[in-house]
Amino acid sequence: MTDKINEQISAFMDGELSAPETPLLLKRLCHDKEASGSWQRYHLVSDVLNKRRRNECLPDISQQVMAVIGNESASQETIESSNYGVKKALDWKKAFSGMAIAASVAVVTFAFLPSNQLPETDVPIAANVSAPVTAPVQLTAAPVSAPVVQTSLSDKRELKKFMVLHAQHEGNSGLKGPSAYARLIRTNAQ
Amino acid sequence: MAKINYLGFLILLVSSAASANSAEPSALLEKCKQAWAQTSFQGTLIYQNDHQLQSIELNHAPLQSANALQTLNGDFHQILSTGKQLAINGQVVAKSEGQANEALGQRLSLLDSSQISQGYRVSHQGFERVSGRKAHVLLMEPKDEFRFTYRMLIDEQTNLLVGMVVMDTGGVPLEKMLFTRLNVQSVASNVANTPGQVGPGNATSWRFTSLPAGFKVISEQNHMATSAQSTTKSAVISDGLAVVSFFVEPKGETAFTDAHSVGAMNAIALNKGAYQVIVVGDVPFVTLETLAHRWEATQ
Repeated sequence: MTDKINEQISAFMDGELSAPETPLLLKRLCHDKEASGSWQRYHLVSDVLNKRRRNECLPDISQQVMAVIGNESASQETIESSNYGVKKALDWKKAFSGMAIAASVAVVTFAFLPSNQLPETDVPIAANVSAPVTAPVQLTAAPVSAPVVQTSLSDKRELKKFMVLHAQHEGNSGLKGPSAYARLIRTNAQ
Repeated sequence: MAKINYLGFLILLVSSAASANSAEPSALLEKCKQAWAQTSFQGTLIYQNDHQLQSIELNHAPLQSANALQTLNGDFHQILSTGKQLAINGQVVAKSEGQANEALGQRLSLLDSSQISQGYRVSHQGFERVSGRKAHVLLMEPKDEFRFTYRMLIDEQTNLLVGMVVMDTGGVPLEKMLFTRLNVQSVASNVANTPGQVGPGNATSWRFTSLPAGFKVISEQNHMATSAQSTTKSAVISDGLAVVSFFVEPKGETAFTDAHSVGAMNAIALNKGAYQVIVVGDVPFVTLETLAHRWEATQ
């Protein structure tokens, strides 16, 4: 492998690779095992330097990139079945890392979030929908219709698909990007 | 006379000290949007909604229009988002036609932050420490019941959003986000900020009969929803802070009505004549319901 490729991988990791070069490098990472290995080693070194080697057991991101590029026209499996596969593979890891990380961040979280508590129980949607409306100057609020009917699990999955699309819209908005992407991942996880 | 001069000097001193310690909120919000568009970073954030706490690693590469995320606790999920498509755990779940989604991002980022003041009272609440860094605290309180309250933490050095709490109309937190680690990699100086072409319209056009104060239509485009193998028309509106997406497709056999929430993001699905309409946004349900009734097919 040439120094040029190494330089490109390094630049990509630093977010400095030019836009025209990026897709070419991604394709190479998918097909060139040596380049892919180099990519992983760079990450390993970076993680060690940062004293955080938690990623070493996680799937190789180049495989994910390859899947993204390679599956554009391929038939799609459901998100659920895909999640299941990954979930099974990582079950052993889940309990361990979950507790450790949750414990380490909990203090920060609750220090940051000052006075209010999360609701003890979920607020029924019907109650939200029928909440009183204060009409703004430019809009007469539509009469709030009957509470939305809760339906089947397949409907939930269908609605989640659109929530994912929306979260991506919002992720591009700039102001709330990180929160929007966090919602996106939570939407998929639920 | 000397007393008046002394008083004037004192006022000047106090006001300049205040401006040094705070910042004009709308200017700060503008910088925050620019920072997202220009700054490559890698960070770890925690996100809390309902009773769930999620730790997430986020890699943001604006020059490549790419965001890569993976969960660090609980079930493993990985998301790769580019301007054109979205992949979850290696499976492409959505594609946009042409440059539509990138253009949408540019249009949203071009929204004038002063627009926010039409829908919210914005105030600078001082500073807090986040990820070992100093961060501005901004509070956005809605002027009506069509919106939520936001408390945003903006990194003083990079202007990146490093924390946010969204609260409902009763002041109850719906979701919380906070960075615990932030590693800024590079800042681009010449990111193009010109709207591109949005996707082509289709035969039936949809329009809003009216909108709440401060909301503007940002875009209309066609999505290719890969799981349904069908094209869905969508529209996006924003008040500069809240973003609401509208989706419509011909009502097929699978038409449904439903409602769901994830943190501050609410969604409803309803039927309008021959169409299935879905409205999603970080606004109260009543707003989604009202807006859905104000979005109509014109032919």
